[in-house]
Amino acid sequence: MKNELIIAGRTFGSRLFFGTGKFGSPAVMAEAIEASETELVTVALRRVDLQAPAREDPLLSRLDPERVLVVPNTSGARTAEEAVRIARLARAGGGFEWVKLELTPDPNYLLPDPVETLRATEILAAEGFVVMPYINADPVLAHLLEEAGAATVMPLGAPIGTNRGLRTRDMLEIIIEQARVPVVVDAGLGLPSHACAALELGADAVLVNTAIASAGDPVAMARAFALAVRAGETGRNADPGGRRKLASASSPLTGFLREG
Amino acid sequence: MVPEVPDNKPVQIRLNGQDLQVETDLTVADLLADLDIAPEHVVVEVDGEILSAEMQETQVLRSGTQIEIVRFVGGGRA
Repeated sequence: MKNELIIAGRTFGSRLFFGTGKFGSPAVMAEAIEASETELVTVALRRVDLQAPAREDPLLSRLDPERVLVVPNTSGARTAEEAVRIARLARAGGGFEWVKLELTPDPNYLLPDPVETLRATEILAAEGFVVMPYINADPVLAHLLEEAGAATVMPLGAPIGTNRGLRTRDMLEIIIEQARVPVVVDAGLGLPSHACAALELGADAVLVNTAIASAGDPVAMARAFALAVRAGETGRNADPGGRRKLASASSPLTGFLREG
Repeated sequence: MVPEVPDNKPVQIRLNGQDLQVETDLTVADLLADLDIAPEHVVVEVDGEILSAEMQETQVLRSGTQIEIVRFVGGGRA
């Protein structure tokens, strides 16, 4: 793992990326963003509620573009064409050059469609977007996306919103070993220890939403994730000692009670 | 024989998937104002084309026009 996280030429001081869905209120979300120390947040594009447009809180006004990079996602898209349309809308309407691809046709597990994700990546990368595709933890697909011009790959730890942790650990290890673009573990991380473990594994960053938004105290949980990500990175860089089968005493056992 | 169409006949558009009748000569900017929507907070797509702020001032709604008005909301899903 390098000491700096750089994606598409941009350096990130935090390895925690932040999804802004599911928060009880925009004020809590803003406070949690602050506590998380994140420098990248994802947002979604939705139809305006025509019954009550004025009462909707404009999300973007809560986000400081000097401090966080706002990345629209394509949630709701089921085909490459729909995802491309959302990305173009976001670029034309808000100047957003980065896009987190989410193509989830399966309503039960929200698993990403690999074929449509690859197609959308090819189209959007050719149009100059910085493409961050959400994928299953599939090393072959990760490689194909890299070839297609993806700026990162974002394999899942477990299905979106399940808080179940690194269930795909073995495949993540292979992706991390082989990837030439940053690997961001996205989805399913439910506890700070999961995020810490992902960084220890060598992931370049994690994206967390539900675990923070659905916590009883989202601001405290955001802080906990910030610490966990730093711990994981620091531990990884400290070059962990090897594993062994037999015990190895850390205090000397000889020279007092028995001769040794 | 073509029936005479009065000037004030409503124009039928489709907005965010709903049918809506509006006055003639209404621009997209007028529509946003009528709906109490701040243009800086939304993206407008007309018949598949994204409309810039300047074009919203000039583009007049015609029968059959399909409009999508979208905005950014919280999202992450991880």
